[in-house]
Amino acid sequence: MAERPEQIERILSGDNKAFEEFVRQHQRLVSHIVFRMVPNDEDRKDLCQDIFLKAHQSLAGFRNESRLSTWVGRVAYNRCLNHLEKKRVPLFEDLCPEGETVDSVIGQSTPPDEYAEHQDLAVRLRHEINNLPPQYRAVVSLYHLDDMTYKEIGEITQLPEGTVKSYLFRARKLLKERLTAKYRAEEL
Amino acid sequence: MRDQHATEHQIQKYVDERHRLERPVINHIESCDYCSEEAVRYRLLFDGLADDSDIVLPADFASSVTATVTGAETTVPGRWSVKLILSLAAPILIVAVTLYFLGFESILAGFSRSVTVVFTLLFGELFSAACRFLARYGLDAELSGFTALLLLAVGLIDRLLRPLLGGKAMLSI
Repeated sequence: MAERPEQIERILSGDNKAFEEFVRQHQRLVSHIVFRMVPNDEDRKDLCQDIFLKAHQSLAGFRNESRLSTWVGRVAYNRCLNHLEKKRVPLFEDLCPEGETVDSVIGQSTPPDEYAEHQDLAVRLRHEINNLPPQYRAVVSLYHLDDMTYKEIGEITQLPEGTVKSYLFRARKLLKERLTAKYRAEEL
Repeated sequence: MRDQHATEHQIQKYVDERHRLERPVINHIESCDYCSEEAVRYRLLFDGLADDSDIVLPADFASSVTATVTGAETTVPGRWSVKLILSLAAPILIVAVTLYFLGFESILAGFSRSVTVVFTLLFGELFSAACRFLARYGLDAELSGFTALLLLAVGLIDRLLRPLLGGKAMLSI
């Protein structure tokens, strides 16, 4: 059986400083997952906190069989999925029956007149990211914000590596198409 | 010389994992106006996706989470008091179950009358009532009662030993 890292042992023995350090190390990853997967700003901070409370309760079960960051990421991802299911936000499986592509089932891009309100590219991009299914958003976030490998993303999302690659490719293609459909390349 | 445009896959790869792309494809993208323009679009998109300036947690987030965890631990009964209750409850329960099913009245006959009365009142009436309740629903009262109490005792002991087993359930060892 793989031994737990010393930091985990210290947290389990009640060392609050060790836990605070643990939160500092992983809060960036957790916030990336939560902020990209959960559109409602009011829920985000509470969710980030819940995830660390859940991690604290479950740390005794961590067995060093994966990287600690991957384990924390999985806790965060699953918590976000549960939250979205409770809020009845459709997930990718709900949106995309077998055999269909995401392009055909995801709602159309934001209408051009709405774009008038969003002059800034970063804002427009975030807006379009929010129109993607949550699993796509998580994969894009883990790859581009946290520099995770396909394998690590697969461990967090419990998706096969091939599916991770496919989600990433389709998400980026969709985003590029939606942003360039209305704006010339120079503006993008 | 390639006479077809690069695919979306290849252009994404060119921007993201260029080292994995074959040389002729790279050459085409760099010499083709359409493909290089697509590559620029993807480059700008990827830069945007790597921007997390909108994701901000409060500066005191880590300390406030730690304070919440500490608070949650102190609001439940202290760990030692829980251990003490469990360590007393589990053996009492096991002794009580054993005595009841072995015929505690005859076993306790050797003890003083007051001890016998206390045991009878505490466990005899309690178990008899439970047995009558179960019998009303057609259940084998004694077997059901015994099973329930045994499971409860095992659960209590498991809860007690879990911290010593590194958080693992007793039955998983």
